[in-house]
Amino acid sequence: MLGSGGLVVVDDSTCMVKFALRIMKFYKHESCGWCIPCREGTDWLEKTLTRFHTGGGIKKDIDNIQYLSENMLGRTFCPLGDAAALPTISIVKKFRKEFEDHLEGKPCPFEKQSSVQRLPVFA
Amino acid sequence: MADSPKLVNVTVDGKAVSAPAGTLLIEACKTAGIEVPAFCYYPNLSLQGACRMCLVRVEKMPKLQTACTTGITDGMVVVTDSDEIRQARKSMVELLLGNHPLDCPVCDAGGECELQDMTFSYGAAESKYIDIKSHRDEQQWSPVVYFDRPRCILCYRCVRVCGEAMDVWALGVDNRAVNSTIVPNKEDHLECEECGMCIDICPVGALTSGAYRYKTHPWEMKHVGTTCTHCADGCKTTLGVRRSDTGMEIVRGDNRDKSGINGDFLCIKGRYAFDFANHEDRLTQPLVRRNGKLAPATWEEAFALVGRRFKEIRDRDGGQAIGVIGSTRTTNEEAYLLQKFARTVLGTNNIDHHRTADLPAFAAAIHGKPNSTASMRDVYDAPAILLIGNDPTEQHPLLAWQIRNNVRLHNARLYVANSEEIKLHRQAVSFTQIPNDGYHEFVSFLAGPGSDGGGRPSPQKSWADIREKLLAEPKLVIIFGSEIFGNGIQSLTKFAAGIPGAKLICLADYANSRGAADMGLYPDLLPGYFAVSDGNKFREEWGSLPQKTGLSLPEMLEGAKSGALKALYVIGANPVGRLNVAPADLKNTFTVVQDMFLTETAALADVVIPAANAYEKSGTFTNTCGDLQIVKKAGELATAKPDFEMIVRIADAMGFDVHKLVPFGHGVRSDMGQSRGAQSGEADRHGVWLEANGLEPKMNPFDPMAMLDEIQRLVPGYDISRIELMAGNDQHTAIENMEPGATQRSELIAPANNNLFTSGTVGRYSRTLNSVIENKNPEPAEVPAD
Repeated sequence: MLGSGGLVVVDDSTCMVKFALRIMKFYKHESCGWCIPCREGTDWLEKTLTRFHTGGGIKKDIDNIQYLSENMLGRTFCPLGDAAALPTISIVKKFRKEFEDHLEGKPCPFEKQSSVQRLPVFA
Repeated sequence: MADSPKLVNVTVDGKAVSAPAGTLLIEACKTAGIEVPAFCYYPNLSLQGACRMCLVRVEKMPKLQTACTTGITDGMVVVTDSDEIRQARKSMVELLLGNHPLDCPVCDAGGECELQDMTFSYGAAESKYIDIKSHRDEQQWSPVVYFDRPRCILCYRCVRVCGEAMDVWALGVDNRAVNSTIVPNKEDHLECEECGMCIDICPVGALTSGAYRYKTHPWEMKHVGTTCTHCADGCKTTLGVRRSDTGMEIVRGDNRDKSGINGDFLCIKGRYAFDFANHEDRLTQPLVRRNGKLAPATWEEAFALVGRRFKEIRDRDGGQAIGVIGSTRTTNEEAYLLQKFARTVLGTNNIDHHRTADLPAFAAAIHGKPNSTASMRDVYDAPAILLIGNDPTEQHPLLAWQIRNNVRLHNARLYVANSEEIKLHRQAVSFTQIPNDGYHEFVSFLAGPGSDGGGRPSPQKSWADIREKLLAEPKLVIIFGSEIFGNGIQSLTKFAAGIPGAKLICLADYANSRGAADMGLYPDLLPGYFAVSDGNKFREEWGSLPQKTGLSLPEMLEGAKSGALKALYVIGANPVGRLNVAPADLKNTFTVVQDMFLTETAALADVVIPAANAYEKSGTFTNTCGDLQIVKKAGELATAKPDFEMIVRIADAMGFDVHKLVPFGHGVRSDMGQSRGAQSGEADRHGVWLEANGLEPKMNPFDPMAMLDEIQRLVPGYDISRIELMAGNDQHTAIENMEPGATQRSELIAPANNNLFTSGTVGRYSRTLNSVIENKNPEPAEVPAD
């Protein structure tokens, strides 16, 4: 399921991590900040996905992203939090392999000449 | 309000709960003893549903529901604790801790932080996030309010308490999403009443107070519940006290436990202006004038000198040559003792205090009419309120809070009659502007034809409308300021008599102005407003009493000038500063001053004795509504003594038998009270009952409770429940049972005219108040003395 009923068509040359990040950037921007799960959740998801996409991810992050989204789901003041959580959960579930391909400082497999700036690896 | 709502039955965690339909689930759970956690929910503030901590499972609802916004309906089945719910709450705490700095060891709120408690309860032990926390620098919004953005969890309690409960609206929310932040509505600073409610209500350490921050931890303080010493509203304040090199230091004031007449409300004075107690200008030893200069002396020297000189003057010139000026900030026991000392030891009725209301006229006007005075609690519940004169927002902050929140929460109808458009007119259903000199005309108009003594014809049709409306308001509470006195109070009482259940409040200005009046600090009135010529009850107990009316405060100063008054004994008052007395006037008068500071009056005295303030002694205060409350000693300084003790010492130095002054030593048990103490738990329990019932042996003449025994016996209206008083509860005294006081001259009444940031002489020595005044107005106005 992708977001709030909108339909987005992507082909197999799209990095799903980057796609998840793009969605999260949108919802973080849209979040009004009223309630905790949406305000803090979208921020941490965006932070984690950004780091992850740029090769700073660790294995724990994949479960964390799912955990965080599942905890947002159904617990926010309005459905915006749900709309942010649902696609993220789906992407982690359906494209776990693509997340794993980003691990251990590997560059994004979809961007051969990676233009993204490398962030330091934490932990 | 009138119809009681239907009770419905709900099941919470298997327990049957019955509550009115529409009650919030979180409150219904409380009645069943089930606590549902919440950050943003706060009783009596608007609902938010923002923190998502109170999520519960309601049967047949697809998602978890917030208990703080769900009204109960019949047959609702609720689960407040399950794995799903615990996980939801845990994840909220995790999310909050994500950006929250973990500086708990240095945070002011550490130890009494709701986020700490929630973390403890819901166990977010593992840190899931490894990215960098958002940080922003701390901001100072006013001399007393600091904001530490990263600690803020955005519960919006501060915004709501400031706007809804205080009607100040100084705070708002800026930006959105994770950039949301609480901001002052005036860009970078607060323009507000500096009440500190936002700091008090903050569940974490995001808002901290300039007076307290980084000074101590909550668990390092002793917490003493006592009564505030500033205005006459008598808020309960819980002082946080630490030991220090001077003996003790008060570092914090709040009323977080919501006990007392004020709930959690305190204004800037109650919350921060205790710092005069540790001001470096405080007198630390008695001063005696030698060769024209005040020089340090020992306590024994001072008492011996005062005793000797008072005795000499009394024996040579008679009691009428000595004047006594009492205080509006000493306890009832001290005021009572002082007038007893004046009348029995000095043999004079020359005793007065700074009057801020015509309480004798009030006592006379409602004499014998039971239940005609309202308590501070009544103001919060009354269906309608009439406020004539005064500006409670400035002079009686608690009263204003009670009125405002009564209007907001109970839809009370407020009628304001004032010469100025005071802030409370915003809550009023009707505002009547009356001319500055038109107050008495207004009240005599209210009282109806036949009672107004002529004057201008009352053309105002609006006045007639108001009167009609007010007459149709049962249980009206009528509050009037010092603008109304003498016959005006008579008229108002007559008007009130036409309204079923009407009650009155007469506003006086200082912490114990009402007590000082009730305890008889008048040249013509004994305690309970008995005329001095009519004091048989007291004569039987005390022996012979002077019959002649004494001198009033201005007359005493006149007498000092003319040389008729040979000695003046001033306790906790600053008449020289207030009335601009010329220094030469007191030159030939032996003047003794008991005060905390070298005030204008003390500077002219022959003997100055350092006094303890209300936070350093025990006793009782009566607030302006007549609610009697206990004053508890927060700590004591070796360098000051309570006025009570000093009066007794001076009486002793005059050769007077102190047993006749203070009825101590009665009810001594065979064990002399020695079985009480840490060794004997049983005896301690007995001690509570004994003390509450006035049976505790008063082992020394400095025990104010011994004096309270006598007050309760002799002053009508003060026969309240002692055990309630000792437990810290307010007890309403009945001034209507007191004697109809004699007519007073209206020119003796001078309102204190304090505003939110001044508090007579003591206010001048409060660093916090001064910093706020300076911040608001670089050239501060002159502070009125008391």
